[in-house]
Amino acid sequence: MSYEDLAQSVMEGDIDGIKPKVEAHLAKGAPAGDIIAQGLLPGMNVVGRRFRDGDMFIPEVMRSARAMNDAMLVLEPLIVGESVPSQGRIVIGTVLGDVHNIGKDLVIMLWKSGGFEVIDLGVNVPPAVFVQAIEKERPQILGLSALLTTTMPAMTDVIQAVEAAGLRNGLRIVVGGAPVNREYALQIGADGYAPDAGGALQMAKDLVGELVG
Amino acid sequence: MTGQPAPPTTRVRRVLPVLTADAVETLYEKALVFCETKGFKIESPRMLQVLAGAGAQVDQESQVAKLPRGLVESALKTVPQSFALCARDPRHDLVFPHPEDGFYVRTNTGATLYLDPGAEKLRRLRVADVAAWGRLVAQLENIDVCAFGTPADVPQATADIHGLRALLSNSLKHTWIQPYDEQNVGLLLELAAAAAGGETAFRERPLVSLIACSLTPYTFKPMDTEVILQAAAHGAPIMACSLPSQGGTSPVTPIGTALVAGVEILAMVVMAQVLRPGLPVIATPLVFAMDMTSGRVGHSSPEALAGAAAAIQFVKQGLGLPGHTYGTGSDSPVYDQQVSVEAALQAATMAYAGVDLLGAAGQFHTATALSPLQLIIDNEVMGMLKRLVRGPVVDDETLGWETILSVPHGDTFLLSEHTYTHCRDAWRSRLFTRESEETWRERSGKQLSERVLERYEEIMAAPQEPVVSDAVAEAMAQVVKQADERLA
Repeated sequence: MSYEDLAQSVMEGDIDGIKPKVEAHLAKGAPAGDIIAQGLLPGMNVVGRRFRDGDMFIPEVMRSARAMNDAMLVLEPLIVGESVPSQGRIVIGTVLGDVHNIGKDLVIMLWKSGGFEVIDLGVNVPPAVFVQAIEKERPQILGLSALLTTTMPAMTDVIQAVEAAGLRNGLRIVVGGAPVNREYALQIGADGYAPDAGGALQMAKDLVGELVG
Repeated sequence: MTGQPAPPTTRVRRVLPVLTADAVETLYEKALVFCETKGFKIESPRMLQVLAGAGAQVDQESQVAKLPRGLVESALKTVPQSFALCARDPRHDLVFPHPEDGFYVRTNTGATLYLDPGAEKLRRLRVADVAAWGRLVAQLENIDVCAFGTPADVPQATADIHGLRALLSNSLKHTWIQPYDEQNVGLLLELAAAAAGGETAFRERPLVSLIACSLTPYTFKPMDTEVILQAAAHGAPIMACSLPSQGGTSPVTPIGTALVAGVEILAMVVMAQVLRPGLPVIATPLVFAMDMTSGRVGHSSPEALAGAAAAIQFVKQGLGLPGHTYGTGSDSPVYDQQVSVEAALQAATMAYAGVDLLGAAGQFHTATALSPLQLIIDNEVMGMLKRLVRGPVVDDETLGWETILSVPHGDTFLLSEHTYTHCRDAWRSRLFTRESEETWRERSGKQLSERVLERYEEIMAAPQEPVVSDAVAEAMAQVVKQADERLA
């Protein structure tokens, strides 16, 4: 059994077979970190590429992410003294006055599938709660979601609150939602905007890449 | 023969059902089981109390209300089968069922972007555009209900109130209101009452109907229950809207989505009828499908159309409600040929699905952008469809039976009395041409886009009588001022 076989299990979303395969690798003495780095992550990278190219559909990506997650549940406790590889940390929420979550939740699933650690603040989130979360979690990216034209202005409130708290530096703020467009994002001082969930994963990778330099 | 055309069509609308009677029955039974066993999360203690009083099984902690079969069926019995959506000019009243078994047409609601005629780039909608939209709708004979987009150049907290004032100041047709916040609902109705000439006048003839929406799946936000509460208090008809997106907030299958839309609409029917038996409710499944490669939702894909057609048949035949859905529009983000194709396909599909109120005229970019030129084209297409969906009268006169028998073999019908009598029966387009290329070049050489632009300029240049008196304008201004002071 090879690491390629494990990567294939991720790509195929083999939620029934991946855990036994991981355990088999561990039984042969493979380090947990190697299993992740050489087996699981390459599989998810292929998934990300195929999704970007329109070759894999969202439910298929999520199935792969679920398989990956099932594998990680076995491996994470065994990673001692080192952190699990992560693409970056993101805090996200739907802004104050808005309770829509489907778009946000879809983006979260795709970000997680791409290896990001995501802290979901939920819906109807006041600016102060975003600020507290940034102070605590120190994410690279803050995501703001709004589905109503009347709640879009709350995005500006959050950005202003983050700036007032001195947390803007080193943080990339991205916005999204049906009424939002790139022009609006730039107007309010956001760093990124993705017109749909599919573009959000690559955007997050690009923004983290900018920060890393 | 006098040359007076005989009506070529019946008063019977031809509908192409997508579901069998058994399928409708299956959906109905599933819907009742859902209402009774799964229920709805209703984030309104007041509405939960009302429902509990009517016999619903309510869990206050989870805010879930389960509606027993008897309650649902009782509500379906009190929903009126006939009613009118009133307009300030009674000539524009919309009677349900349609007296000629036809359908009505509504413009887009809620768009935030606007494409100026002849422009290539979208811009944010302004309140002056809403006013112009009202003036345009007033001149389009096949557009019956006017709704409005969300202007960006007014305080956002009261954008719906400013938008309504602009529309009521320019249109005498029935208006559909989309409130954006719980606190705005009462003010919007106050504004409508001011336009009607006072609360009493408004209650006698409500000039507006209201959107009540679910938050799919199976949830109702405080704002939308507030809409139902206020509509019931004022006697304003409700368009009970469910906006499922296949694969996202409803089953990925069109028929599963039709069921989810139906149950959510049923919940709104129950709420409305418990509060005010006899309140008109129009079932409004606005069906979307999620693109599984991007997560974006649209309403023009075949799956969305299939879901909408099934949902409409379910609410009409299964629940006995009038049906309203997207009856035109496009998912194209730019104003191109895709808009024309999708708008016409959606219109034809929904007209033949039996929809009573076809919505979304003038929109593209999945309901977020308005084009006044597309509104004019939609007006034209709707005229065609209003004719197309009628079945023919079949008798000796319409058959031209005597003429058939009298025309010699190999001869022509062109000179017959029958042709002379009926030669003007055909629906003639103001915008679409059937000329030869040579004639077209000689006469105008103008493409559709240019002809529509001319028509738009002609309409907007024509003088229009004011539609509100100074007193009404002042009354509305006071409501808007109060709203801005309180909310903006």
